[in-house]
Amino acid sequence: MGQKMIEASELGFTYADSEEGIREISFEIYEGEVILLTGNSGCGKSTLLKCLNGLIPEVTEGELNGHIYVLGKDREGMKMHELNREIGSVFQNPRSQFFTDNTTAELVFPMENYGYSKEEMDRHLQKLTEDFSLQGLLDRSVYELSSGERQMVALASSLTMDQKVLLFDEPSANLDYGNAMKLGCLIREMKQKGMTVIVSDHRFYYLNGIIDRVFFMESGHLRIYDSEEQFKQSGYHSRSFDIFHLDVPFRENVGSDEEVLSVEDVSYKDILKDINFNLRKGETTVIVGANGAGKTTLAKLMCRSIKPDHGKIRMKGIPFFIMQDPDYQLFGTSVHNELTLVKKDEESIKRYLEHFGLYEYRHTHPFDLSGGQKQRLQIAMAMLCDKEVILFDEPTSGLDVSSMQKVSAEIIHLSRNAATVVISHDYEFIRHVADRIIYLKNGSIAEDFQLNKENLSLLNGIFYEMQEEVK
Amino acid sequence: MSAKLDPRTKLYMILVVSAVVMMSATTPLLWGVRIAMTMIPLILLVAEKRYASALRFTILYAIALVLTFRFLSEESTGIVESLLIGYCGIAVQFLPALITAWYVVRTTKIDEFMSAMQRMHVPDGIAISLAVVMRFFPTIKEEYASITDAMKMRGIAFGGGRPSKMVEYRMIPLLFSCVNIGDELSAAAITRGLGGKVKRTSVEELHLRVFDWLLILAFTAAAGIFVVFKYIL
Repeated sequence: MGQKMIEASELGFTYADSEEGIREISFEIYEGEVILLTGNSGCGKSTLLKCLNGLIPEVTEGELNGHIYVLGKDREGMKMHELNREIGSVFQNPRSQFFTDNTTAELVFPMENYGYSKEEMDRHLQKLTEDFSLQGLLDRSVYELSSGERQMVALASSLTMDQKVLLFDEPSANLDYGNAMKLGCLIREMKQKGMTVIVSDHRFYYLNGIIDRVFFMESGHLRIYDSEEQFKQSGYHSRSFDIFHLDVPFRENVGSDEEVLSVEDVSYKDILKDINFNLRKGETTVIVGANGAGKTTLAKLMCRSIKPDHGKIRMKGIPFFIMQDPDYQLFGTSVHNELTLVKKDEESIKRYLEHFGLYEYRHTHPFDLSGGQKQRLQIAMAMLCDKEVILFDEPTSGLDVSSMQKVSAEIIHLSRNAATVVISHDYEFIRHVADRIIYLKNGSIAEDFQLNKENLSLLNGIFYEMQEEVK
Repeated sequence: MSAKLDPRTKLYMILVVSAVVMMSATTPLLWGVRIAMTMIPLILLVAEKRYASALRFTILYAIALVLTFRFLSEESTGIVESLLIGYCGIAVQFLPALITAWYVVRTTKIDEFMSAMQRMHVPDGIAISLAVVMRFFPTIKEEYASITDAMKMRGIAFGGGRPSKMVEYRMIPLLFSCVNIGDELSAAAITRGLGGKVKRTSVEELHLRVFDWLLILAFTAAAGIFVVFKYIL
């Protein structure tokens, strides 16, 4: 076994303003290990990650107990910038990951902070460019990058100090399948170079076969599985490792003949060309495709927030759109008020509040809800709205497996009275909800089929294809 | 000659223009100086290929000028005229500063700006705060667009029948998301060494070129003319 990189003894943390936290955690992490950190939402894995990258206690307030040793040195005696010279962090949200607006500036940003000379920076930038094949990504605006490119720049930028330990916070939440698999390969390469990688995530299919140990968190406590195999046998949604062999029953097609939306020869700029399809009540359609294939543009067209350059979209009214980030969509002053904005029907509102476990929060401001509660509120809004088409954009990004299954059940429930359309690259979730798959590729529909036993290989083929494309 | 200016020149331009707009022009000479000072950032915008904003500002400024000089005077009466005097007065007076600020924000990269602040020995704390503010402009715009979009799709773009709600529905989500992004941004920055006790360096090497010196000279002269003619002569 190699050098001991991180050691925690009796580590505990309680937040200043909530009961959540972690308790009595002890572990050792060695050079060259790949650690998967997982568990249900609220289990404490982000807290543990923050303890490792120093944001606890540097930024987050609360009570910290126990010790962390980084390369044998006590964390307490280390300054933030000393700690982060050893441990690099890649964060989840691509919108707030970058400090500057230019990729090259972003890559040198840490070196500037550490006081490198111009010559050192140039030399180091050269090396980073070669190591991470960033040739095409230099000197670009960070706003123009695709999510895969952003991930590459974020990754390279957090390793500018030649850190030996790298932390990832839910990297798969904002990556499509192909890019997640590519990240898996990169992590394998880093491991071979002797780096230590700690990945906190709900999805782990892209790490299949490269995990050394699994740190499983449950209400603030840590259980360590000594191998990937041992974790797979633990029964915790471990089928998620091998997503293509999931045993999920196919949905019997419950679609009615009632067409509620038709898209006819729609084109938009150079993003979409000649799109044609109809949606029927009772059917759940999943739109798949690599990031940048035009999925979100198509959703915006259906919602009439942009107009097609060519072609027509016919439907009564506009669809109800549930965006990936609920914060954009909640405007009410309380949970109850939010629902009355959709429809003033006290009886149904009360019923849905109870159904979604939100009744006791009815006077709470929507922004004070947890992520899962916000999403349930959005689904309650969708149920209340009487719209014929309901659209979801990546509803499961960042959800743990059991929450994902709950959302699937609600979407199926919704589709009884409406046509539901879901944009997703979460294979497991797609298998749970989809009646029909539309595959967008380079702005056109490449495939459109009913998902059943015979057609499953088509869906798998699409995912393999998306993986090949980023290679 | 490259139109790329040193950020320090740009900051100096903002400083001078802001001072000049606070002094009212009273003689044709002062008006001429003031208009010339407004033309410079407009020309620079064109040089940076920002044609749309250059055109928009030119038209706005020209209309305000023409209205003020040709159609309005101190004897103007009536509601329309008095409103116009108010609007045009403000536009003519303060547009130069707005145009200059717009030009600077739109054409300065954040790292150049940081580098300029370091060269001027501005403390890191101030430089970083200002850089974050600059970094935030495009973010606020993006967030605002997403929220407006979401409101349209909910059918409450106009406050669901209550105009007073229009502002509230927009501002609250915008504030929340900006606060969140701000938190995450600072977390990402400090885990990459920002705020350490090390003297920051910069990869951007800044040089004041001939063109920079010419502009600095021109703006200094303009400020000088205003001060001399308004307060000394």
